[in-house]
Amino acid sequence: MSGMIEAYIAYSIMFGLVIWFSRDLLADITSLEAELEALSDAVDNPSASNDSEE
Amino acid sequence: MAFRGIGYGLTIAGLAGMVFAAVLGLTYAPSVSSEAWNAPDAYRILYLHVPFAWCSFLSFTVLFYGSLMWYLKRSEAAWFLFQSASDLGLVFGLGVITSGPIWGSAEWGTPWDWGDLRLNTFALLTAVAFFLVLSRRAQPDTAETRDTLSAVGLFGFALVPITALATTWYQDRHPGVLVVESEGSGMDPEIRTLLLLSFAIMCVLFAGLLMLSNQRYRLAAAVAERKAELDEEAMS
Repeated sequence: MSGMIEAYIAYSIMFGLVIWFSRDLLADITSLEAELEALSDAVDNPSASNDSEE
Repeated sequence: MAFRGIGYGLTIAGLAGMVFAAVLGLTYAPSVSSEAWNAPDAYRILYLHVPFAWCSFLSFTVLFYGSLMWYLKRSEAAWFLFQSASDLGLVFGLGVITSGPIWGSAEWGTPWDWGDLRLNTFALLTAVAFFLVLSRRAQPDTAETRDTLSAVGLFGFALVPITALATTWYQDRHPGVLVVESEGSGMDPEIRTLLLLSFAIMCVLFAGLLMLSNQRYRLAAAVAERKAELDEEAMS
């Protein structure tokens, strides 16, 4: 047994971890930016946000 | 925004570099003697395993700084660093404690040795990161919670030198310090160069992820602050 299969499995796990974490980070940043923009609009223009709620 | 752009750039460069390091590790890296090693190709795991371990030490160094600055200055920026470093400590730590036993199974015939100081202190270090991530999410974000978790962060950093020097003080099963002491250990200089290159690449990825993670926690704090403002306005 040379251990090449084990090397591929270990590499896949390590890649999986950093890719999952990077994706999670990017998705969070995108949604937080959108939320912050929506909240800023609500603060700057409260009547418009009230109208839209109605 | 420019800071975020750098974070994206470093993360993408780091991920691309990691693919490059993996290809080098799996194909270009020299083979080792099949007489000296039980599973000679499994040693290729070390080209990512070792840089992952060093990056987890870097995470705990940042965590220590964040904890200390939180205590000394009560600074929000320090708390962002604390949160990012505990996340990164967990990610890199998990990479190490999953890839290590895979190599151990192939080379030693057993995935874990409960008597080996290096293995067990590293597992404890990863457990500290896991505890910090779970506690941050489970507890209300108050100054008292931050104080308690920062104390654990400071304790966690104490494990870094113990783990790093464990193989020098008490070598049982885990290989000793090879890269720094490679002249005496007989390590192939090509293997040493590839390990250092892989670590340099992983540092780029680490810096990118740290910047993006800081950005995430900064944005989350801004959203919470804006929501509080709106609640206050609605109440008045």
